[in-house]
Parts: sequence; structure tokens; C-alpha cells
Amino acid sequence: MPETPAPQPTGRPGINTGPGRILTALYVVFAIAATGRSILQLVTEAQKAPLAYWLSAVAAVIYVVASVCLVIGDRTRTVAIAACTVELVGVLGIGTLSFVRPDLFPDRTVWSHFGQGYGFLPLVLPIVALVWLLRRRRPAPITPGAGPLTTP
Amino acid sequence: MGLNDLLYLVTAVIGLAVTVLALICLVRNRPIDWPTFWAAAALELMAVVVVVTEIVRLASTDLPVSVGTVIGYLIASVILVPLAVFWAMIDRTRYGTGAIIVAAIALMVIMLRFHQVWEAAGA
Repeated sequence: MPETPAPQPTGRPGINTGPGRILTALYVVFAIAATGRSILQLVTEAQKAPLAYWLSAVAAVIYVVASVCLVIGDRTRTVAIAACTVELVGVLGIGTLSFVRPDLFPDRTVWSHFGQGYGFLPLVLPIVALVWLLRRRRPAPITPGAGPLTTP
Repeated sequence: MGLNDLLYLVTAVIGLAVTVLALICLVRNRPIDWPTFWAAAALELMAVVVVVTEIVRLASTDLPVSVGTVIGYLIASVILVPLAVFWAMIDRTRYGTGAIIVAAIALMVIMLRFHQVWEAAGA
């Protein structure tokens, strides 16, 4: 309960501990928000903006994957990195496309206008997540004879 | 201002209080303390009150409100705070406290969205 002292961290922290916990919480919120929105849009008004809504659904799936990986922790770090990379590419690509071809996006999506409707968090989150995940790099496994630095 | 808007406002103000209390814990590098815990409990209580009034409002309205949107926000508004408090208790560091800040801010945004959704429907 709240008054017991905080345990001291032991060893190298995992990807979902420390600041990663705030990141994970943000991802869970975004996963819920994006999933709810895209299911609703696809069920009720799929014809209005099919491209935008299907992209929202794709974004939602990626947020869910990234959230689940962050919650599980270090074992799924690689998948989390992949999901966050796709997310960054997505928000940059769709963000640009929504300015160049606004006719394709009659309704807003998570990624259009670089996530403006969500306080630009969709743009900031994958960058922060990637920086966080890549800084937690595991020591590379030593594979004999794998490169010029290994002694024969 | 109608009763519903008043409830959104009260919930948002409690959300702000939770954010400030949790932020103090975070800055002082502490896990959540009892004031933050009880403020979060009050926030959850208000979220439940809003959920009940929203269900009543949805059942008794003729306005073209986006029912799915409201239901989605209703589900999110009740689960966020317990999830965050649970997490803050597992990870008893300043960052577990950060999860509560995320949930409290998300709940404030949801209250704003409730207001907007009903306003868009002509309430």
C-alpha cells in the first residue's frame, strides 16, 4: 500500500520500468483510443472516408502491438522497435499525404496532419519510444567467427 | 450550464487535482502517497457517476448523438484510473506515479470530448 518505501531498483531496468512505465501507459491509452475510434468509424460510416478509416484501423493495430510488447517487456523489445518504426513512418507518411491530398481524408484520423487532433502525440510518441528502446540495447551475443573482430 | 456539464467540470477539476498531487510525488521522487491515492479514488467515483448519468442521458435523448463514441469513452473512463493506480502500486517509483498522471489527463480529455460530442449533437 502507498506508505511502504519504494524498493531500490536492482540490475538493469527493463523496457517497461522506470520512465518506460509512463511511455507504456501512454501507449495503452493510445491503443484504447485508436482501436475504439477505428472500430466505430468502420462499423458506422465506412463509406465516408474508406482510406482514412482503414489507415486508422492499421494505426490502432500497431498501437496495440506496441502496447502489448511494452507491457510484456524485454522479451518483445524487437517487436516493439518494429512497431514503433512502422508508427513513425506511418505518421510521417500519412501526415504528409494529408496535407498534399486532403481530398483523401474527409475525416480526421490518428495520423493525419501529423496527429494534430491528438496534440501531436502520435508524432512525438514513436520518436520517444524508439530513443528509449534503442538505448536499452541488449549486449550483443558473442557468435564465434561472425566478423573481423572475433579471434580465430 | 446543465447538470451534465457540471459533472464533466467537477470530474475534470478532480482530474487536475490528481495530476498536481501525482506530479508533486513524481518531482519529489516518491511513489504515490495517500492523498494522491484518495484523490484518484474520488476521480474514479466521479467517473462512475458520469458513466451512470451518461447512460441515462443516452437512453432518454432524441438528439443525433454518436452513441458508439459515447459508449467508447464511457468504457475508457471507468477502466483508466484503476489500471493506472494498480500499475503505480506495482512499480513503486516516481514513474509508477507518472502512469496516474497519464490516466488523469486522459480522463480530463474524455470529459472535454463528452461535452463536445453532445454539443455537436445540438445539446
